[in-house]
Amino acid sequence: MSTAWAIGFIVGILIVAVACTVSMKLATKKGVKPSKFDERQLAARGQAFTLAYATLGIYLAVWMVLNSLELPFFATRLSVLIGLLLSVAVFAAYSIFSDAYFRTSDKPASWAGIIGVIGLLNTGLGVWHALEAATVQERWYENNNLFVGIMLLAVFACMLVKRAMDKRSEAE
Amino acid sequence: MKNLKLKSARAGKDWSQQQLADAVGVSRQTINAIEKGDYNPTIKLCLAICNALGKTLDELFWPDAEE
Repeated sequence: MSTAWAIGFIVGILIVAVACTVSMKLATKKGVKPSKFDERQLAARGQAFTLAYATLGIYLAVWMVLNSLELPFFATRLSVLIGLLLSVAVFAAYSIFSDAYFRTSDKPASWAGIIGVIGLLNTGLGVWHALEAATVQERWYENNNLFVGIMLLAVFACMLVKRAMDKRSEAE
Repeated sequence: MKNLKLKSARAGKDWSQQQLADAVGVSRQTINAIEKGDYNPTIKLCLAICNALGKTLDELFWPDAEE
């Protein structure tokens, strides 16, 4: 491990910590004590965790079979990351549609904006990597940003759909 | 099974779902789910709702004979 890699890793962690702190500040209602999830939300999130766990298990089983056939769709690191992203997306989607993704002290619109922007940045970076790559395999083989971006945009889309559903039911 | 008793008790106090939710410390969607019969609250939350609305457990959560 080179010194440059270690410095990059530490700086990356620090940037993520700062971004998380700023996001939490922006997406929490002012003058409101950060609340916990209520009992219905905890139950729904439990269901979401179960589904996410099952998704990860099924994905890993399929990936093991494909891996044993020696079909290298993606690097091992990215393959595992895709499994994690899939399960997180399932958890987020189930929680969003069960009204269990946000605490009462959260500002859903702010969170949606933050997730949408980070998703767009990652997708843009992923597309840029893909366009810069010399071979077709390099475009996808280790393109982590692209898949992180797609997952975040999928979560963002779920939030938009849920908001539209809520507005329609409020109007009725 | 819809909880119409809770809905009418809340309306009797002229409270919105959000006001009741804030009074008992849950999300508005949780109150909505209870009123629609999509969620069965714990006894702890039932008691908090009863205290907030000034009703008894029987008045809000005990099913009528025809239910």
